[in-house]
Amino acid sequence: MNTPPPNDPFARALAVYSTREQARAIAPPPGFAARVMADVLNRPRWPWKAVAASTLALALAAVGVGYAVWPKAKPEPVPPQPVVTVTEPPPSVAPNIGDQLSEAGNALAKLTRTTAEKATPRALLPEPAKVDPPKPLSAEANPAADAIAAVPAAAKSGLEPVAGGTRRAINAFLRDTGLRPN
Amino acid sequence: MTDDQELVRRCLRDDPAAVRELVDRFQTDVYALCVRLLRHRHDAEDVAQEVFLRVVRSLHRWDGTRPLRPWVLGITVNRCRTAMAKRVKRPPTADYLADLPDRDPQSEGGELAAAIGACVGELRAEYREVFVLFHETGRSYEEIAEIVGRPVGTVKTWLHRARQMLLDQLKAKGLMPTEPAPQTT
Repeated sequence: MNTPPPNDPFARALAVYSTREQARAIAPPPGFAARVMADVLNRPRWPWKAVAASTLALALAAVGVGYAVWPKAKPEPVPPQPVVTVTEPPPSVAPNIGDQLSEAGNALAKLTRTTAEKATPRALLPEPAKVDPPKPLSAEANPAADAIAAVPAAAKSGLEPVAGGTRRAINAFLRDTGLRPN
Repeated sequence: MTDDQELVRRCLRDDPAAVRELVDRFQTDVYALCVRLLRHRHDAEDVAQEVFLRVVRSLHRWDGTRPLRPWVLGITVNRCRTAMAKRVKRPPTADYLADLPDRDPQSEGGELAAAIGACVGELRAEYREVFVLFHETGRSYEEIAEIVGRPVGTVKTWLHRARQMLLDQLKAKGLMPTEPAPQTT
């Protein structure tokens, strides 16, 4: 302890108190050690806290064992899955759009032409069975007969621009798209 | 192996002679500290008995690299703190069992010293512990820190506050002059 200031009564009193208390001997009562020894050696080593903790631990262990032993619903057996081998298709050659369009254009032009050739006489002329065989025309009627006879050829030539126009449109489209060179 | 380690090793083997040696070695310190902290001899005897029971049952937790005495006194302080907490909840005991410091008002500062002894019992538990260990048993800051399990700085702070509270109580009782009010101009 630090030396108290001479003019501080509290510090002086504290010094006196400390000196006196440290000099005061406090001895244990007679027989104290014997009582302590009897207490240490005879008191049960398992206080109630330890007993409670042990009981709780045993209960938890029993719950754990019961959970492990309790029969559980078996899951449905899973059938073996067939082994699927995925074979990759061979790499396909990319179709040429220009060729396909050209082929489609040709087919359309051919169909148009064929249809025009087949349909024009039937559409424009009466059925052959219903038409009487032409009588020999008089001389005055020859120009008309010639005109009627020229109808199929005229119809064919009249539809020809349609087929030709379709073909040209497709060709122009192919040229514009660069799929067919000029 | 130190003497403490050898003694503890024998106690852990349930050697009654070793336990008796342990009790004989520390009974004076333990009992005196209980009396000083509890200020009651009967309570101190009960608590000291409980302390030794705890010590013997807890010897396997003692750190063999540290001295045994502060560890035992630390258990003593803890048991006394528990006893003081229980004492608050029960009616006060008879005065004839109380252990108060001797009064010697004839000596220099004797009256104030006696007043200090009477006021120590009114300190907070942790303040009383460090005050008793420092002023009544003469232990160093480091020893007190080891016993109460706190840093040395905390011990110094508690000791300072304990002295300040004692001073305030003495002033409140009129045993110390209060500082004059500061002069204001």
